[in-house]
Amino acid sequence: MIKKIVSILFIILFFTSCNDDFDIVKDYHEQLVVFLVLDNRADKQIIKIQKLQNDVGLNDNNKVLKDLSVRLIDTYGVAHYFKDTVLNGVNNFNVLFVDSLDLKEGTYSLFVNSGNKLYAWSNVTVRAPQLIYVSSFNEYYKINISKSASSRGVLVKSFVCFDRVDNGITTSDMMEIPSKFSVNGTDTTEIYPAVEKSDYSENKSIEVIIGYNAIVYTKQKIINRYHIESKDIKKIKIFSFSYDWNLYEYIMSYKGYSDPYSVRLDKPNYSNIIFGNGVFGAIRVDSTEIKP
Amino acid sequence: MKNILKILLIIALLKVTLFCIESNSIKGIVKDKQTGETIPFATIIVENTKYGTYANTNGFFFIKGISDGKFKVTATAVGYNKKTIEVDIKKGETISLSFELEPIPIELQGVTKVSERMKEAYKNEISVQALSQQELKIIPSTSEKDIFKLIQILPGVSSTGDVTSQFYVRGGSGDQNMILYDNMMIYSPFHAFGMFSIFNTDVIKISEMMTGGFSPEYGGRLSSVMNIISKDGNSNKYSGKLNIGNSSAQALVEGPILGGSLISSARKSYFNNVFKKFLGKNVPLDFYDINSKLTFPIANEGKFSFSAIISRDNINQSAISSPNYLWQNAAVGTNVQVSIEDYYLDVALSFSFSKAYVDYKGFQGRQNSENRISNIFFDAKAESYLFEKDILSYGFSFILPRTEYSFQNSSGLVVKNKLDQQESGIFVKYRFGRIEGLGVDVGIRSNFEFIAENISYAFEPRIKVTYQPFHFATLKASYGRYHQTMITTSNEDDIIPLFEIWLPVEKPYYPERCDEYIGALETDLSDNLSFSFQGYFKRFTNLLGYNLKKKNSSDPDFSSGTGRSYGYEFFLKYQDESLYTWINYTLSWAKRKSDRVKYSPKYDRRHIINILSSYRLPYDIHFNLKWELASGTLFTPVLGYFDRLDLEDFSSNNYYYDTGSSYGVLGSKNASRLPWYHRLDIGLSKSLTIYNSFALNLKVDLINLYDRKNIFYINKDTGEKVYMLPFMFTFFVGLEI
Repeated sequence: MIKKIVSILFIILFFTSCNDDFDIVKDYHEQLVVFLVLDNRADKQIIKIQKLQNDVGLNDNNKVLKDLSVRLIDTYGVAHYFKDTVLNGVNNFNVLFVDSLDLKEGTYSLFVNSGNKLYAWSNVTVRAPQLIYVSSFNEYYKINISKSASSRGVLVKSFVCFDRVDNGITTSDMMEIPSKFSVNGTDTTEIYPAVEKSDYSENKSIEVIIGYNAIVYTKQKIINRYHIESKDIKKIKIFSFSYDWNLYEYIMSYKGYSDPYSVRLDKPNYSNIIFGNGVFGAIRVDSTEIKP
Repeated sequence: MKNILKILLIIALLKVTLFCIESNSIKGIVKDKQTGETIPFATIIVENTKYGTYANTNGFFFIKGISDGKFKVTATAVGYNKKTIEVDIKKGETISLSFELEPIPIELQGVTKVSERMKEAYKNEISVQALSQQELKIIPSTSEKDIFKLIQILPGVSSTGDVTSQFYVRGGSGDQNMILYDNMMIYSPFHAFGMFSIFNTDVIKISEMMTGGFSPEYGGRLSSVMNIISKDGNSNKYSGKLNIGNSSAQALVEGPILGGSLISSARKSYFNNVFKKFLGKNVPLDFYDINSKLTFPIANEGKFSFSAIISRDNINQSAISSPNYLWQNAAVGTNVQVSIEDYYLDVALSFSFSKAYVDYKGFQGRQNSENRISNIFFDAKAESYLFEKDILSYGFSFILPRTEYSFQNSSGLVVKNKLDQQESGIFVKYRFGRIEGLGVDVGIRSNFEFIAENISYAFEPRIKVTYQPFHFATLKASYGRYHQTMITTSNEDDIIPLFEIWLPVEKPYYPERCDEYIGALETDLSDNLSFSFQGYFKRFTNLLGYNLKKKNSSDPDFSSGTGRSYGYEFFLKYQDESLYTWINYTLSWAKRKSDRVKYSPKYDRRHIINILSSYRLPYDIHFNLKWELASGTLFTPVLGYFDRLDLEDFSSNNYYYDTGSSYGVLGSKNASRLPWYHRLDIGLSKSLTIYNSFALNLKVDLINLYDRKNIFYINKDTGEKVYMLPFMFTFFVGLEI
């Protein structure tokens, strides 16, 4: 009986010790991957384009495309053609730009072609500027921001602006003010604001509080780091970043499920690019200043 | 409540008026003489008559319909010397007997014959496997002896990896398994990310695994019922065990107390290297559990017991960016089992609690997550022994679960909720057993669910037929309808789910439902060889799952779908004095449809073969072997890769210079299958007696002997393959006093 068991074991070992190779990529088709976020502040609107790849970790040369043609049709039906450019360190994307684009409220359409082989398109809506109101109270500033109907996500960031001197040259700089602090024993962690959902169905303004203690904390940090005097601190600048629906959904699908131990395989992929991947979105950035 | 009591009263009156024929009866209990522990499945026969029966899981038996006169009644159980008691029974009399059987030393015989004894006791059941302590001993173990690991190699049961004890029965999801421990409902019975169960195997007397054809006394789950009954403890003398294994140490004490018995075991982890092998990363995991039971005999072959189980796992990390985790289980319950005239009553009341907590320490403003479920469970059932082998069973149960959760979802919103639910069930079952070779169980169960002022009602017919045309072959068939109102939000794509929330099914959704059909053939090919075949078909409706088409955060999280599963199970068992072997093969399909998306769940493994064997070598050393071969689990393939940009922060020029990180675009859900899974584990075990009252148990196991690289999962973004357990050497040393 022992001989039989040992024989069976050897047979099992003989047939099963090999490891299988297989590919997790299935039904691959070449596609365009497009990233364009229309930014009301930008002099140049930058688009990044890549080819969908059939394997991970390919050389950058395998990711970029030839014969790209990119058109943006503005709200008046005028076509704007993007031109090739290069950005330092960005070799895995085709980078193109269009300049002097005066963004107006309305719908913009994007068309991307790579020769006669690949094409993709999408639309996005750009809305009106937002109004920022600042009220001062005993211990904090209250910021109210008017809401745009197309805004899906909002991020309000505030910065302390200051001048510093490097090698005799005066440079303007700024440091972000934390929205709150987390204290755990002797550890203090600065917490900065993240994108939040702005519910377009509720017709009210967005309200953000900036505590004086956070401003004082940031000023002290600047003074300690750059060895400047209090008079060199000029102002506080408040930015409101308003994300359109597509950009917000893309970010949320990207940010989700960040637990370090959970392993999820069904990460959602949001894209509004027809026949492609990536996102065509719009961001509205408005700002105001206050004297500290 | 009033309606339920009225219905029960009517059933009892019907029983009295229709079936109460005055006849002679013998009832009693079978116990181990040394420990006082009741012996399940002992055979009791009235010599030179056709009368005989098997003791139930509590060692209780009842024989009805015996004529007047003197008889010899014999109780036998493998591992024990048989005992005969003479009785003189008079007309209309019920005699109570207590058999105290003297144990004889057995090792391998215990495995073979105990399982044979169980097979006979479950001959009227379908799709039930009873697992004994002896079978648990022979299975090679990676770190902890675990009842769930044994379950995973039963026919019809599949799992998704070495790392998890979660199991899937006949195409059902993991939350469709009911886990009862001494009649306490345990919701999250796992340690260490689900690597093994919280049940200490040394205190388990017997486990019944029902993969289908549930009796009407069970309700609330669609796919399986696992009924674990713990030992009562030694009521005659104090004894103890100390076990040391790879990852934990455990101690067990038992002995007489206040006229009853106590058994208590505690286990504590101490070694993290094993976890590192499981998870591929260093995890400061710490856990403990305590299982205790107090039992007191009461009149009429009865007993009163009080059980408690506590478990706690935690991961505490020093870095502020690393969250702390906590998982807790606690359950306490009482059971009363008593025989009054020709009734056998079983009443249980329990409270169970399960909690998971993630402390993010305020890092990046993330809110802590908490999820808890507490449950009060009352269950009362009665068996009434009628003419010859006919039995009428009836009872009712109340389940009062409360679920609370609070977490920050992927859109950054804090979601909080607290839900109270009431669920009650009533059942009646008639077992027709008076015709030799034919058994028919007919029953119904009605469930009522109350939640948020809504009431739902479910009606569940159940029928089971067994027919033995030849002494060596039995045909079986069953139909049952089951409903489930408590589900988990766990996603089957969560490879390691950390935060599983139980929720009641609320309007606009309906309770999940399953209609199940089973056919089976069981044969004894020789004295040593038996074979069984089962085929099943299950149709699921109202299955709640993640909304696969969810694109926007305002879309509903869930969608209601349908499903079906079907398959064939073959089970071959050989046993002689030296060798115990089982081989099973399962061929199965599981399918789901939700929002017009058709897919098969991840655990739909087409072919599964399991071999479990134990061979007795010279010097009473046991050679144990387990080999598993299974189709790979399903996974969602990648359509292609691109470098995905993080577009959140536009306060700097990050957007322009971001080169992105690799991201895989997913294709159709679960459209591809991983390569075959197979693994061979072998081990040796030996028990040494040191002096008279000390025993040393030694066990060494070689896990994944040929170091098969079974794929656990593939990181879709990087293409990295994460493998299951590599070759491992494990050991176990136990000292018994």
